Amino acid sequence: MDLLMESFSVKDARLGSKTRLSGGSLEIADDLLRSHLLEDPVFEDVGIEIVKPGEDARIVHVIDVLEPRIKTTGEIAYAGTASPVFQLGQGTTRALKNIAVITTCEFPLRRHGGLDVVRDGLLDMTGPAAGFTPFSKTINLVCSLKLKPDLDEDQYENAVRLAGVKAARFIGEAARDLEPEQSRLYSLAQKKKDLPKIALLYQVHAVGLNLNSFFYGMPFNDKLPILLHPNEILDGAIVDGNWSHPAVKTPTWYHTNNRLIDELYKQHGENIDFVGVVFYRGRFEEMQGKARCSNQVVKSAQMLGTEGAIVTWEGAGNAFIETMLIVKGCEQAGIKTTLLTFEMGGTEGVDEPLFYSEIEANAIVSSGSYERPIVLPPVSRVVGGDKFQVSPEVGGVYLDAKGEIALPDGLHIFCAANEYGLTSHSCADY
Amino acid sequence: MTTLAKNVGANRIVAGTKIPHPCGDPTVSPKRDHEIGTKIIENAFELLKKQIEVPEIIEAV
Amino acid sequence: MKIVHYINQFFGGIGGEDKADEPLSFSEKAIGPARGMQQLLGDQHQIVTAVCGDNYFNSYQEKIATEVVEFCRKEGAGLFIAGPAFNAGRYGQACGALCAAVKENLGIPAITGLFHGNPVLDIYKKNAYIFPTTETASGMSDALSKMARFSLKLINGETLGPAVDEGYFPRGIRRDVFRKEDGAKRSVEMLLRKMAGEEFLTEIPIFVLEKISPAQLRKPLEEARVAIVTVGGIVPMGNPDRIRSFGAEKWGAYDFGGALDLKGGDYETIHGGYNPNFANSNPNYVVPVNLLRDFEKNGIIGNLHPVFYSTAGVGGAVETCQKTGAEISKALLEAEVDAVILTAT
Repeated sequence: MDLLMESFSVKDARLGSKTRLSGGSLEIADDLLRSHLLEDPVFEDVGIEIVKPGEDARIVHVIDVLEPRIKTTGEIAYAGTASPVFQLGQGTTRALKNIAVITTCEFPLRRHGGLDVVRDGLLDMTGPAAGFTPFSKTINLVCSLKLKPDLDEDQYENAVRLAGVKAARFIGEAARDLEPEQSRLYSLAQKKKDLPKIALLYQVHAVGLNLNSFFYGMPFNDKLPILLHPNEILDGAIVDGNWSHPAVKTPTWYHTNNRLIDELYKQHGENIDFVGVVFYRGRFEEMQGKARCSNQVVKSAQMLGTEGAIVTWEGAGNAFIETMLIVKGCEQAGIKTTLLTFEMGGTEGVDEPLFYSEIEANAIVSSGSYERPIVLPPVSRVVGGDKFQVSPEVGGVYLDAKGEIALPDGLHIFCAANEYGLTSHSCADY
Repeated sequence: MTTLAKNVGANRIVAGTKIPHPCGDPTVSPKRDHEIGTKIIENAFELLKKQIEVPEIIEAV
Repeated sequence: MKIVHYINQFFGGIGGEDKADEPLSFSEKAIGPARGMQQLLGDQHQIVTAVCGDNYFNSYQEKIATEVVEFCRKEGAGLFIAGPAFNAGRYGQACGALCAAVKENLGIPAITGLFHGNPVLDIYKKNAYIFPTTETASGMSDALSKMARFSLKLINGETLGPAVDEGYFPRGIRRDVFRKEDGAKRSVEMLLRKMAGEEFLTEIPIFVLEKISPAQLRKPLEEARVAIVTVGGIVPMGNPDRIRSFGAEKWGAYDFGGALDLKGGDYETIHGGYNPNFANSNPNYVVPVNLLRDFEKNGIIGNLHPVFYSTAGVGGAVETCQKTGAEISKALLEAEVDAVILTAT
């Protein structure tokens, strides 16, 4: 399974009457996009705005981030979501670079606590929080989705997720008839002999409403580990559905631009033999479920002939138990592991960095902590809404989104946990 | 999450049904739900009554 | 800058084990290793010495700590150095304890040197910059130069790097940094080094929490008062105490009186980390009042305490959780509770 990825660099973008890319300049037919998204009766309204790098701007109620994509070999980008299923990870895909589709949506507060409460996420283009994601450097096409009242939560969840994918495909169309600027072939075929066999053990958050991951459009919350070709992940087989935990969020863009897969491919054939990805959900609700899942992941890695595994996870809390049990299981089976995780440590970094560990986890890369307090300065422009909501557990406290926002931790900062290691955030002992 | 409990130093640990409902099972009839919850509490008292020296865990049946 | 340097009777040139009962004395001169330190730091800084016998310190620890702190204060010291004590037990204890006392009372930095196997290292590494030394005093000059180099950095107010760069034992104080490469690249590199049997440095140390010795029930269960404590975040509807969903620092005590069970609608969960629907419709799944009433009725337990104690156990700092635990325990003891059912989600 080889995947040819052709990319097109976007240098600036504007709203206009047609969707086209020429000389790096992208025009987006926003009226057409808006009516396309409004075909979903769940939405009362849709706003389309462009936010550029370097702007003193804040995006609130962030839902997902996706890269504009199309496939030119007959399949559909992000196949399975609002489209038929095609096998992804092969053929040719075109991607627009330096531009991201960002969906925002304010959900009604229907509960005070729990895994499935939608929590407000924010993304600052400048200031102390800008470095947490790559999106302070991308041109962002923000689709602000307004929900009709009194519908069911699963209708809302479904609608916002589909909207992001539809918008990403819509913009991706601009690349259909152009000559690619750059292309990269993702192939595991060529390799030297006797290279160390490395697998990526890839945990996602998939537990149910508002906290799920979708595999070719299928919710993954009651599924067991499966074997994936890394190209499937790069090609959009996984669409994110986590709206309840902004800090430990891994938007769809993080899957299609997974830095670990990118790095493993760079080394494949010369230094390593990248044998595949074991894809699974964690956070099973009882020890047996955790043990069953962890054992299956380890066994799958063994069946691939894995000698070394990179272990990543998505989420917080008890999902980490599966992660640690997998590290333990691999090491005991003779598979060497390196774990990539964020750490805790409290507001001053003097508390324990991890709340659970097994003694076998002796090689850990830290992607930083999101527990430190942070003060976000006022901004000149807010996109997605006027208010920013914190503390749903007390009924919601609504802050002025444009003003200074003092947060006791990074819980509400989009992607602050950096779980796939995209930034160089880390912690060190002082 | 009995491994976590042991890890942080708990000495008497009883496995509950599931994380969102440790003391019973809402997917079965109320009578069976009650029986399941009662058994879990019984396990807890069994450990509480015992003199223990090292951590003891009663896992789920 | 004025610096106070603490050494024991041996390094002070007074005598060996036979002089371990030597009382505390002060000198305006730099003696023994302090003189070595003085030479390394140069003339613009002045080192004065405190000397004490190891046994004498051991017998009068608090008194000596007070006197040494006073001496530092009187001298206007901006830095405190002790030892290095290598693998010595009593001397190591003295150096560690005095560093901690000076830091706590005067807020000035404290530096010492210990062998990595010295048992007092773990006790004091949070309170001082402790540099690794050889097991015996054969490594004195190396230890002194490490300590001196770092002392100058502190004195000159230079920006400090992480512990691993500056050379002292990590103190368990973690700060945010940006590393040279992104997390993904570092992960692949670390794995390859590990697989090749090469040296690598893990970025997060694994902890082992202290084992807690089990309490034992002090009366028959049929006479015991049993209370329910939960970290499942069950609170009266509306969360009157405003307990946070993540990183909760508060806990609540909620009186349910003679109720035979908890009613959904009166209570809710504000815990951010599990599916709340079951607990919201039936809080007894997390705070099992209904089940415990049976045990009370059947005489298996003495009585069910009519108050349950609750917080949200997710994303909390270990120290915060320990503090919450201690406070709830105090409340339980005051209420003469004999045993606790603690539910976790």
